[in-house]
Amino acid sequence: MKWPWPFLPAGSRKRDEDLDEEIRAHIEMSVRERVERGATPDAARAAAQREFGNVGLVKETTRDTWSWVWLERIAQDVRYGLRMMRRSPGFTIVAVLTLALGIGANTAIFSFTDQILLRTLPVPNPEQLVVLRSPGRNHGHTWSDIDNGAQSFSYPMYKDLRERATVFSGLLACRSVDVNVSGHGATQSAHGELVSGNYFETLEVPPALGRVFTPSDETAPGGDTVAVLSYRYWTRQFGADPSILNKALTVNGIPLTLVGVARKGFDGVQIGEAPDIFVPVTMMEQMAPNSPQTLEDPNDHWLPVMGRLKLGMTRAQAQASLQPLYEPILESDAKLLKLHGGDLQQFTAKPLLLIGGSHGRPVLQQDAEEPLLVLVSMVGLVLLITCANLAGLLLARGEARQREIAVRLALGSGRGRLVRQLLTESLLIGVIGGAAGILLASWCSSDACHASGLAFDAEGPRLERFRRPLEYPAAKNLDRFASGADRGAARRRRASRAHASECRAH
Amino acid sequence: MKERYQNRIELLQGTLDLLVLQTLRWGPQHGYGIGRAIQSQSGDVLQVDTGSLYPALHRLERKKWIAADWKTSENKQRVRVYRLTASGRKQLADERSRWKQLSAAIAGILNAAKKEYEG
Repeated sequence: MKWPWPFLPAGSRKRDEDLDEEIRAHIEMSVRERVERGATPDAARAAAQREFGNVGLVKETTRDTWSWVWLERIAQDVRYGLRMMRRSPGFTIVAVLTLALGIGANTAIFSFTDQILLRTLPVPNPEQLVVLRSPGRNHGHTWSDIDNGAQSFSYPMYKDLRERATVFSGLLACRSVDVNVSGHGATQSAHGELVSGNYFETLEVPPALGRVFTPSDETAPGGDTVAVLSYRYWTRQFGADPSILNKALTVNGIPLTLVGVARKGFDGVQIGEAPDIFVPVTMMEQMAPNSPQTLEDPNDHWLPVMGRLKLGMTRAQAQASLQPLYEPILESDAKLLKLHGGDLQQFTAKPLLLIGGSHGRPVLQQDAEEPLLVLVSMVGLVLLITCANLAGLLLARGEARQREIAVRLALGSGRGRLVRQLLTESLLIGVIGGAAGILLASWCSSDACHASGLAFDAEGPRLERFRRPLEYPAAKNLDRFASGADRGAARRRRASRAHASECRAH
Repeated sequence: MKERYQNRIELLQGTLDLLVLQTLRWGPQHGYGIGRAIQSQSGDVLQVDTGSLYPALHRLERKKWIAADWKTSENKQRVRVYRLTASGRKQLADERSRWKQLSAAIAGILNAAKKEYEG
């Protein structure tokens, strides 16, 4: 059966036919000469053919001199491989499905792992970022999403640290709040992020439009009625309309002036959270009216703090120089809290520690790390089993094909050529299985998000951060080629053992 | 299959190209004719294997030293006829002089050995 190969240079078939005719003419001339010399036609033809030798081999070696022959060979291998697959649909379906399941599961889980555990924040030099934590008992009101409140500070304490610490090129604070946005049709809820004035400066995130906040946007409680939109929200809600600049947006009943849009791809400092609107931290009481905490009370611990270390500063150095600054702040807080005796000692002995912040605030990671690592190892094992299964399947098939291979060896096909043919067949199955696996993974990834219990519930819109695993073909290709090559090697060994002599035995 | 070829002198790599170009100097010829010509002109010492001849012809054609046309023979047989091109003529001259150098060099070595042996 002919198979259309659009990528072959035009005229390749013509050239093949020409070679056939050239060889036919050669033999005919040889026959005629022998007949003229008195041989019988049958004897002449036999002798001419004997003299010419193996027609297929001559054609093959001649074709080797054509420049595009390697392309044709690959096409031929692929064509033949597809034909073999069509001839045994049961085997093909089982092999492709096995691969699809193994690769699909790996792709889906790996894409989660990459998003949650491996990727650093999309800001310049994320390795300079640190998260501040001060474990120990807090007094007053503590808000906590992580670490028993050790990563929550009061706004006055944050300001003290920002003024006194010299180890940071910037010390930022941010806290997510849910807000209601109106002024553009119906009231909608959105993800707000209360940020310090130096937030964008410290993270080195430039505006995509207008400007981002500066320290002068953090003045007095309730006094900074400005907002910056995330690029995603700007595109989704405003159709990326640049004319919204300097217009008012009503957030929780307060009109805020839109001064700019943050850079595309910036989604705050917490994986799994994608803020829509950034508002100065001084607007805290307006943006979170039901919060039990207040902005200025040193006993209210609710503000996560991150810093960017100065160039060349290590975490240990920074931590050592921070401790002497921290103690007096704690002592003055203790006075306000009227702490005595053991409580006082415990409180003022709290350390100030720095943990790596290149992946942002480790909220999601804290819950997801262990289950994800377990899952990754599990699906890795599944892939291993998949490969073993397939290798077994292919070995069994190789056994059944020994005769075919022996015939082809006897007809003069080179061992290298045969090996390449078998490798091509394995790779074909690998490629098709891999493609099916990626399809499967992208199809089930959104469902898996909901079902995985990775704390994404009721956060539908934020799921769009989790891109489809189609982004990972590079990693998966490696897997695929590795397993494809494995199986090819197993069959290669079988093929080499099938000698031409065995054919005669059959 | 190997035994059949045992009595034949193997051609040096590249020598076949020279012989083909030289044969075509007397006029266009088809593959069968080239093989026959080399065989008869060498006094039946050189038999050109078709598995070497056709690859060589196609290789020379790709290098544009020879060109091919389809002609119809007197027996109404369509045959592919090769002819020497201008660059093929130049190539032939180059290869001839190289061959002379080579054979002179080999002859020199053999003669020196002979003298030593006799002396």
